Parts: sequence; structure tokens; C-alpha cells
Amino acid sequence: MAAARGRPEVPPGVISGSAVWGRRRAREARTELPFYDPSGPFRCLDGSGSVAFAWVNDDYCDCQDGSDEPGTPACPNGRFHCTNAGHRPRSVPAAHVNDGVCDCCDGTDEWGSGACENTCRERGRQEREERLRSAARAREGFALRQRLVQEAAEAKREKESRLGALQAARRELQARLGPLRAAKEAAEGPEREARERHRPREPTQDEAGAAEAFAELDGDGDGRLTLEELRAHPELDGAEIEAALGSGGSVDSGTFRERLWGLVRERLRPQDPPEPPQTPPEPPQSPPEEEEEEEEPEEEEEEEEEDEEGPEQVPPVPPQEGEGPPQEEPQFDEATQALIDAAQRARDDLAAAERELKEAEDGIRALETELGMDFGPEGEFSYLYNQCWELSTSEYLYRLCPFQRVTQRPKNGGAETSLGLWGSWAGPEGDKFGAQKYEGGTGCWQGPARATTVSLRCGAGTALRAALEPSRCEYLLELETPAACRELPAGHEEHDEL
Amino acid sequence: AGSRVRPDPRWRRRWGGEWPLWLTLCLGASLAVDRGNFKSCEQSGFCRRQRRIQPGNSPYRALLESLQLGPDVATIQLVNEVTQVPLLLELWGLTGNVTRLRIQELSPLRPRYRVPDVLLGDPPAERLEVTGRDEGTLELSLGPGGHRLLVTERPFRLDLLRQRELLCSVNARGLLVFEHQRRRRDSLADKVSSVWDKIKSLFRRAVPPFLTGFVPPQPAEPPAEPEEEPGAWEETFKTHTDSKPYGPTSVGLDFSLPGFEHVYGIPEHAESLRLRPTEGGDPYRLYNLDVFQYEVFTPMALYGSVPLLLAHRPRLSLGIFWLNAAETWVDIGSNTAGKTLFGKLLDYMQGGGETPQTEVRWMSESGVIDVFLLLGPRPADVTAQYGRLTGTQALPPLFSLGYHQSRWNYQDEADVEAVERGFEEHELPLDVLWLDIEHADGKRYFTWDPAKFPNPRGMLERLAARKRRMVSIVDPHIKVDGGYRVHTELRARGLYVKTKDGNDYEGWCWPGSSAYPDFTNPEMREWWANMFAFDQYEGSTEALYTWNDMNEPSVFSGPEVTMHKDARHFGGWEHRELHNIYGLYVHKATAEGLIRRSGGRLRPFVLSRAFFAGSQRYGAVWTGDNTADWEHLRISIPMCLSFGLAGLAFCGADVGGFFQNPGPELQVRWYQAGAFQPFFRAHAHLDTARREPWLLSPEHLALVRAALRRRYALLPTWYTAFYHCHRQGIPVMRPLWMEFPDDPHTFAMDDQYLLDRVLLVHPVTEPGARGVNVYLPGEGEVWYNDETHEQHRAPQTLYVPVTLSTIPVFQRGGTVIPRQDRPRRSTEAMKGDPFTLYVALSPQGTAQGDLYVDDGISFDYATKNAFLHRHFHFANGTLTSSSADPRGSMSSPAWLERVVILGVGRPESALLTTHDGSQSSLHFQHDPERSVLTLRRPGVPIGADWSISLR
Repeated sequence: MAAARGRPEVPPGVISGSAVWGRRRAREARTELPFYDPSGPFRCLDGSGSVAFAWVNDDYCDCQDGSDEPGTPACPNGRFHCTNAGHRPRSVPAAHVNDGVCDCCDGTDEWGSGACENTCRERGRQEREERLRSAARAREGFALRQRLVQEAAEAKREKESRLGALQAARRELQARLGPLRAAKEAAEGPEREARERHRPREPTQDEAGAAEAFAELDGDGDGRLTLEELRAHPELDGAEIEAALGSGGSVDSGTFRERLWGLVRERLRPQDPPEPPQTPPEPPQSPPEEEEEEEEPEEEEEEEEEDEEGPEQVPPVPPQEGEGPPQEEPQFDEATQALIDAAQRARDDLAAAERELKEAEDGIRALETELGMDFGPEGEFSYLYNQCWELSTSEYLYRLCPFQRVTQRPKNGGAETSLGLWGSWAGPEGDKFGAQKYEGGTGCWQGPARATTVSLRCGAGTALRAALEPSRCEYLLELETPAACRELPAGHEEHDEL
Repeated sequence: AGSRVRPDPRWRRRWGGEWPLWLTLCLGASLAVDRGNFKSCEQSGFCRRQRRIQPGNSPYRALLESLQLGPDVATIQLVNEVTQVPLLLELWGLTGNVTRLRIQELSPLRPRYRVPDVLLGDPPAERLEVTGRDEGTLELSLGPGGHRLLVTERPFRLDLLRQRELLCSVNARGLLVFEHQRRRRDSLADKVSSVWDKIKSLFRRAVPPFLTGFVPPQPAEPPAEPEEEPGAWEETFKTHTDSKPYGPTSVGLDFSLPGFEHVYGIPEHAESLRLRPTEGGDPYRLYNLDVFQYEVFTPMALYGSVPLLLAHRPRLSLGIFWLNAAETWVDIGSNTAGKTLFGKLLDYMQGGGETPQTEVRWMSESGVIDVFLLLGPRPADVTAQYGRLTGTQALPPLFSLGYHQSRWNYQDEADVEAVERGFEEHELPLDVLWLDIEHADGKRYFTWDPAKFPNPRGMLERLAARKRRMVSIVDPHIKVDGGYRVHTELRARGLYVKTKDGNDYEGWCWPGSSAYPDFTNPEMREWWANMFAFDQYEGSTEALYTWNDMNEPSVFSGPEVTMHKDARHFGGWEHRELHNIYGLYVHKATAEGLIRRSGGRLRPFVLSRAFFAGSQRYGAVWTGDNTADWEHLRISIPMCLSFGLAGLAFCGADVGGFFQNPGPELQVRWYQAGAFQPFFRAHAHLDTARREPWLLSPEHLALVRAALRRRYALLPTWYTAFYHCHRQGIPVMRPLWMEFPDDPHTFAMDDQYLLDRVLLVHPVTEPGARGVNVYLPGEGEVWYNDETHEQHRAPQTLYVPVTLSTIPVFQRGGTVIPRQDRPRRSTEAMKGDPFTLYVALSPQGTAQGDLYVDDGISFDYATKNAFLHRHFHFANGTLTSSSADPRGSMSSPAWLERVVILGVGRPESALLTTHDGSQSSLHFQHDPERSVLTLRRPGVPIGADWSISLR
């Protein structure tokens, strides 16, 4: 007598075939039910043996496959089937039967105590509602995704055509460069010669002093210095000066410098030191041109906030200059000046063409990189490129720039840490685009370089939803994006397998 | 958690500010202990002083004429003939073959610390008698055990005999040291005169009443004070200075153990089970320390200390319990050390060799000499004697014998939920999830990080609904923070440990600047215990239990990463006097708190890292911050065996290893080994990769699942073993020699052990193992492979081929073990499950065993005798179940599912007779190849009397 043997009786409903083992998954039930026939011995479903039907569900495991105990926890490998009317049927390990934990929403797994209420209807309702909500989200997301696909296609076309245009421009510029270089060479030869011929001696400080003194002494400003004008300065009174003025009684500035300046200087500027021998100053080196990466404007704005690591501080660009010295060009005669101007034009033309070519090449490189990226089967992830998203947790600010990098910055200050650079798509098999891997971030103490997995989840908007560090230096971000949405079959919400 | 010093720049930020100098100094990037952070004997003043003393010149004389024989105790004065300082020796013969001797200053300048709260009470004593006396010797009989004690006058010496056999000699090598207290003197002249004054004053003071009538010898002239060496009144180590206001106060004594070559115990050391001679190296050190990345096979101190040493030889086991809580060093000497087996054999054949002998020398920095000689004679008698003195292992709540999943740190409620779900989804049993220090709000224990654990109660309730529990860490260092209630109250109540100058002692620990509650103060323990009330520890529920880490105590900024020795405790005691017992008090107060919160009804579970003699009464301990390598896996066995011999039966090692990442093979092997160790918890350092079992490959995961299920199936055996331990003080995990005490082959074995007396376990601890050599002991016995039920004769060394799935375990012929074979999600979910008995027959066709069952959680087993203790006996073809303890009774829904009899032929029939005499025939299956008989579904209640006869 079972009760006397200290175990609860398996309720008749469980044994009778309808409640538990008789209603496995509908398909199995049809095929299995005939085997649970009380009129004869029970054959284990794996064929391993045969027992009296009274031993079915008697809380002792006889069959190796556990099939004689579909309603009790006796078999280590057994399964218990809950029909869960109003919700989803479920199969739980037999060991969960009568263990005091409500596993089936219909409570049948705890038939020994009957302690579990049937919550299937309520859970079914909740789940249906949640399903509706999530289906609505998914549909909305999928519609957005379709738009993203379209936009991606358009953007791709546009980029391809821009690439084509740039490539054409590059060809054209490359073709122009030869002639422009030749023209520059051609113009610079005569310029050099003319400059050589007319190279004005660099006005030394002494000469400048002489010119200044001349201008000062030339009281009427007529370009000639007369005896009267000299006598207006008593400190210059003297026979040798008058003699030096010569028979003409006046001198121009050149003659003043040659004949009189040496006599006048001491008297006129007694504090001036004698002039040291002078070499013309070296023209300052123009710095090598910085290779600026093209940045989205918003990107730059945010980069600027990052005081320490903002890598692309734009150095002040000095004004573009020709090859000549920075000083004022001396005056040339017209012919020489014309040659110089022509050479300068040729140089400017070449430099402009080279600049344009570099810009075109930069543009081509960026476009080729972008067009070479795998943005998903329909390019739906392309809109993430060149944008960044942030998430603030209690301790850190996480920043994800998809296809580029992940960073983390402590909120209480401190340096930014790289959590990895774009690696690859890393979703599980069959869902390659479900996750991204970023690798090679800042190294860890006694550990590897930081790395991040970004898992992508369907949503109507794009946002970082979670940031975790499940293991030291291994990060997990969750990005919600419509691009991860899939099309739901028509009537998905209504399809009720509950 | 542990000594987890991390030079990650983030920590600098978390702690705020710059690295303190001490931290920078103690950081080694390499994975090895930095020995320079911890003292050698040479760097520890008293150890250096004592070790310099050569044997053979004891200045002590026993004044035999001073003998006073009280009802229990005999007292004799000792005098140091150089200094003339008198000591008092007290001797007791305690019931149950224990002899106690205590030596103190007769009249100390300042009282010495006598360790309280370790002994269960005043152990009952036998009446002593003087049975013989001649010039220079006195003979005392120590009660009915036949033990006699010879006291020799000059030099003082004790010899303990049973009948004519010498068991142990005390001060035979003359290494008794008692640095008497003295006043500090600046000059030698001062010193001499002061000592003279002191001696005179000593004898003017009140003489104990039992000494009245005895006139002490007056010293003829002022004794010469030995020249004091530097360091006597002040010691420095690294950047720390110990002010030593009372000067040198150390004590020491030697014990000679004739005939003994094997000694064990004195945990905690990462050492083989058998202790090695210490000549030429440092002695074993007992000083609770937080050692970062400890190494194996060193005598260095670790987190806990039990000053109990065991010695064993055929037919005799002894124990020496040195009850002293100060820093202690133990030297082991052996006259056979270094001799080869052949050399020993030659000695024996020539008859000229000395008897093997082991010398044990104890040295403690302060306190008194208080020694218990546990005289066995069998191994289990020694552990029982120790258990009667200091208490036995608390009976753990059943759930705590299940599997524990820990990590530094499960980060938030979602993480906890996800990890628990992983166990559900992968059908892995789990009882307890653990939260390390990051769960608290800024390491303010008793609080929760509000962002990560906003609803701890809800989390605990969800766990409890699936029959699981949680442990949170509560460390004894308290963040110095005016906004933290624990701190403000403790400061206001003056319950912190003080500096030598009387201020609150502060040091650096996880929360930054921290203060240390003085757990030696009963008022502090009372306050602490009350903190575990559900309305005090907010967010806690009955499902939350406790982990005390860092209770050595760990002080990152202190000398040797612990507290300054001149810090002050309750009663004015210096930290040096009680250092090793601090952790026990933390453990005790916490366990008391968990009992109290349930109104005294439920058993506590508290894990502690530091421990002392008696800690077994408060819960579990583990081997601290080990490393994920094979040698740390191997050392977990001797370490837990040593713990068990010293009473700490509930021992485990972090499964997988705390530091570093185990490979899958090591992880699987560690689960397999851990499944057969008492405390079974996986734990990992913050910097390690995640290692929940399902992160392994499916093949490895299946092996971990199998190991976990084996653990759970054997829980009735584990629980019954813990009951034996709780009642009798016998370890759960036992060295082979405890059960086979006359087989010298087993004396040094520590790669295999017994679970209770029934299972022999030899975990695979080598990478790539193809097989292991298992020694099956016992003349004329048989062992059964626990998985295949194959039968093996003993004694033999059996080569067992292994695959990655093999855990070599053997059931001893002649035993019965109970199992519950249904793979439930937790221990509580197994409640009421039916039992299977595995009856392994001896060659004589007999077997016996027992089963202990109670509610698994309350004290009702003790207060209401609500338990079942069943005895199973198989003889003459009949298996009988009877009560092993008529006091116990309890109703249980559990029944007998199956009986598996190993080593039996096929019977004609199997007849079940129930208690009312009704009979029924049982179905059965018989496997002739393995001689295994399986009886189908006897169905009788597990608490009933019944018998099954095979015909």
C-alpha cells in the first residue's frame, strides 16, 4: 500500500493518461498514447524493457529512458510535460516534479502538495500583451529598417557616384599635374635669372639708417640734400662735410650714403653702435602640411570636449607662402616683376591642383573604406557609420562609434579608456549580424587587452541600452536599432500557440 | 575575497588619491608571495632569542618540596637558577586521558593573558595522587587511565608514562623559556638593583594560599640579569615600529615524542599533511596573516592558526594543544630526518640505532604556557579529546553542504538573476549564490549599493522561491565615515580597538581608512550580533547568510598586513597577546547574530578566513586566496586534512582557484575534487575571466554536472558524517591513518583520504592523467569502485585508468552508505526524497552503516531531539534497520527507494518484513558479473524498523 510506504499517492488524473503523460506535445501524444495502455504490460519507449502497467508512475524508475515515470521525479533523465492550458506547453526535468518550486504555470508539477496555483491564464494574457507590444515594436522597427535599407541604397548610390566623380577628378588632376609642373619649371627659369640680375642688395641696417637720416635731413623732401638743409643741423657743421657735399651743393640719397653718411653718422646718432656684419635672416620653414582626417562636424565638436585624448587638435596653419622670403619683396622693374608674377601664378596653380588631388584621394579613400564595409545583407547598418552613441551608468560614460571604436570614461573624472577598435561581426551562427566585436583596447593589469561585444537588438530607435563588464576587461554593450528588426510573418500577433 | 591588492589605476581612483607608500611597496606584479613582507624567525625578536638557546642546559629546577596537592590540581614551584625568578607549575589529570600543565610567573609584574573563550568550560579533572617519591623525582598518578607523571627536580623535566611506556617528555631538551617581566632599565647597574628589589618584593607580596607554609629559598645574592639584546624593548620591521612597552615576555617549551616519526596538524600552512623537520629553515609559524598569493610547501603563516599538533605511530596517537593566542613558532626535529629507509633499516638490524624520536618545540611571544597533552591512544580518541576541550564542529545547515557559486563579484541584481538562471537552464544543482565586497555601498558592510542592488529583499525572495540562498560578505574593518551608522555608533560607544596612545586604531583596507571593532569585548560582540536582526541589516532575510573575510585582521597599512602589536584591546590587553584569536571572535559574534535573528531557532552559516582553536563551533573555514594551478589543487587535500585534524571539519578551497584562470581540464578536475571536500564553493578573483560552468564546452560542462550530481547524491552520507563529527569530534575528511592506524604505508599519504570511514577518495590532480595509483588499505578487506561496483582486494596499490570523467572513489567493504539519487535543483528541493542504501559487503558477508536525518536547518535536533538516526546492519543474508539513538524521533515523508547490495550472489527471494510483522516479497535484479543485487522499491518509511532477508 503506497500511502503506508510514506509517499504521496500520484493523483489518478496524472496516471489516467489525460492530464500528464497522455498530453505531451500534440504530435508525440498521438504516437505515444497507445503505449500507455493499462490493459497490458508497459514497454519502455526505447524498447529497453517491459514492466507491469502497475509500475507506470509508481515513483520508481524501471526504464532506462524514464518513460515508465512520466508523472513522477523517479527517473534522473525523465521529463515532465505540462500542458499549461491558456499558456504554452512545457517540458521540465522530472526532478522538478514535487520539489516545492512551481515550474509549470498550471501547477501540475507540484501535484504532490498542490501548492501551486494555476497562473497559465494570467501569464498567457500577459505574454500575449507583451507579444503584441513587442510585435508592434518589431513592426515599427522593421518599417524603419526598410527605410534604412532604402536610404542606405540611395546613400550608397550617391556615394558611388561621388566616388566616380572623385575618381574622374583625380584622373583629370593627375593629367593636369604634368603640364602644370612643366609650366612652373618654365616660368621659374626666367624668374630666377631676372631675380639674379636685379637682386637688390639687401638693405643693411646701415643703409636703412642712411636712408632714414637722409629723409630726416632732407627738409623740403625733394630727394636732394642741400647745404642749407645740412646747416639746419648744427651738430653737422664742419668743413669736411661741406667738402663732401661737393661742388654741386646737393646730393641725392645714393651719393649721401656713399660720401656723407660715414661722416654724419657719428654726430647725428652718437649712441648707435657700429653696424655688425649682417647676414640676411633665414626664411622660416613652413611646417609640413598636416594630414587632416575628415570628420563629421558633430564628431569634431565632441572630440573637442575630450581634453586629454582629443587627438586631432588642429595646429594653427601658417599662411600659405611662396618660396620667397617673407619680407616685402623689393621693388623690381616692371619686366622682372612680370616674370616673378608669372612664376608665382604657375606655382599657385600647381599647389592648388596638388591640394585638389589630395582632397580627391582622401575622399576616395574614405568612400572606398565605407563602401567596403559590411553593413549587413541590405546595408541596413550603414547609417550607424560615422555616428556615436553614449550611455551613462552610475560609474562610467560609455561611447560606441559603430564600426570604429568603443570607449569608457569614468564620470568622476579621469582618462578615457579604449574598450576596443572595430573588429568584425560576431553574432552566433545563423545570426552573424546579431553582434559586433571590438578588440585591442587598453591592456589590463595581469590580463589581456580590453574587448567589447556589442549585441544588437530590434527597436524603434537607436540607443545604447546596457553596458556590462561580465568579466574583468570584457565588456558587453547592447545597442537597440531598427536595423536589427526582422520581418514578422503576417498575423504573427494573432497566431496563438498559447 | 582576500588580499587582493591590485595595481590597476582604476583602484587608485576608487580609493581616491595616490598610492600610499606601503601599497606600492607590497605590490609584486609577479604571481608569487612577496616573502619580504612577512617576518622570518630571525626577524621576529623572540623567535630569534629562543632559537639561539641550545638544548641541554636548562636553568630550571623543580622545587619538589613545594608540591601542593589540591583536589584537582597539583602545584609545584619552578625556579630559574640563573635569574632566581620563580614560576608556578600546575598539573591536572583530566578525564578522558588528557593531562594539562600550566606554567606562569609566580607573581608577575603585570597579569599575563590566559586565552579565554576557547575551552568549553573547566574540563573535569581526576584526582591526582603521589605514588612515588625519591630524591630528585616525584611520581604522580593521573587517574584511572593508568597514566603516570614523573617530575624530575634538576633540571626540571616531566615524563609521561602509560604503564611502563614513555609517551612524552617535557623539557627533556631543556628549552623551557619564560621571559619574566621586568622593568625597563637604562643601565646594567640599574637593572641589577631593580631586579633584586623586584625579587624581594615578589616574596613580600601575597603568596597563594596553597603555598603557605612553604618558605621559598632566598637568593643568596642579586641575580645577574642577562644582558638585554637590542630589540628587547622595541622592534622594527620594515617601516613599522613595535613599541613593546612590557619588554620581552616570550615563553617556550620542548616536547620529546619517543618512537614517533609522523606529526601533523598546526594549521594553517600550505604544506603536506605530514609536517617536515624544520632544522635548517624557519619553524612553522602560527600568526594569522593575509598573505597575498601564497605559495605551497612553506612553513609561512597563513590566515588561521590552531596550535594543536598530533603525533602518530602504530598503536598510539597523541596530541599537544598549546593554548596561546600570541604569535607562535613551532620547530619540529627528528632524529631520523635525512636518513634513508636503508639507513634506518641498518640501524634497526645492528640494534644500535636510536629509537626514532620527534622533538617539538613551541615558542610564543607572550601569554602563559598552557598545554594539554591528549593521550589517545587511538587517532579518533585524540580528536575526541580535543573536541571535548574546545567543542566540535557545529552541525551545518544542510543547504551549506550543497554547492556554492561565488565570484568577486556578481555585479548587480540582474547578474545574480542571470547566473541563477544559468544553473536552471543547464540543470546544475545550486544552493547558494555569493556576493563579495562590491555589493555593499562603498564597502560599508551591512549596506547595499543602491544602484546595483536596489531591491535586495526581492532578489533574496526570488532565490528562496527556488529553494536557494545567498551569502553576503561582512568584513570586520569599518569605513571611517561620519555618515555611516556602523562607524558613528562604534566610535561613540568606544568599541574600536585602540592605539597604544588610546585613540581609535585606524588602518587602510578595502573601504580606504578603516577602524577595527574590538571583538574581544563582549559588548562589541553583542552589538555586532544585533546588527544581523532583519530590521538592522536592511534588505536581509532568512535566506541571507554571512561571510567574514579579512578577519586576521587584514590591515593593508599595518606591519605584515595586519594590526600593530601594541594596539590595545578590551581589558588593556595588547594586540600581541591575542592576535590569533581575533578572527574567532568575529566569527563567533556573526554566528551568534544569525542565531539571534531567528529567535534562537535556526542554525547559522558563517564562513570565516581567519580562525583559532574553537572556531569549528561557529561554522566553515576555507583555505583563502589560492591560485588556479595544479599544485594548489593538490595542496587543498592536505590542507583540509590538517584543518580536520584540528577540529575544523567544514573546510574547502576555492574551486577553480582564486587568482588566475584555470584551463578547462583543471576546472573540471577541481570540481571533481571539490565535490568530495566538505565545503564546496567555486570562487574567483575580480580580474579573472568568467567561469560559470556553462562557459565551458558542452563536454566539459557535462563533466561538471556529473560531479555536482555525485555530490548531491551523497549528501545524506555527508550530513551523517558531519553528525558524527558534531557528536564525536571525528573529522569528516580523514587521513587514511585515522582508520588504518597500524599501517605505516598510510602515515604520510595525502593524495587520497577517507570521507567518514566509508569512502576512499583519490581525486585526479595531474594534468593529462591516464591513471592513478590508489592505495587500498586494510588487511583482508575489500573495496568497491563507487561507479562500476567492481570489487578489489586489499591491501594493494591499484592502478586505476582514468579519463577526464573519472573520480576514483571506493566504498569500503563492510559499510552501508545512504544516498538520494534524484538530481534536484538544491538540497532543500531534495527534502523528503527517498533514499537508496548501498550495502558493500565485507569478505565475511557483513556490513553496517548509519543515516542521520533532521529538518536540516533548525536546532530542534538538539533542543527537541527531532531527528532520526538509523543503524543498518547486514549479516547472515539479512539487512536490518534499527534506531541508532532512541532519543531521536521525527516524522519524515522519506522512504526507502532501493537497496543495492555489492558483493552478493543471486538469492532465490528477498523478503521484506516491516515493523508490524507484515511481509512482502521484493522484486530484484542481479548482475552476476559484478555481484550486484538491486532490490526494487522496498517503500518503507526511512524512520521505520524493518528487515530484508535474502534466501
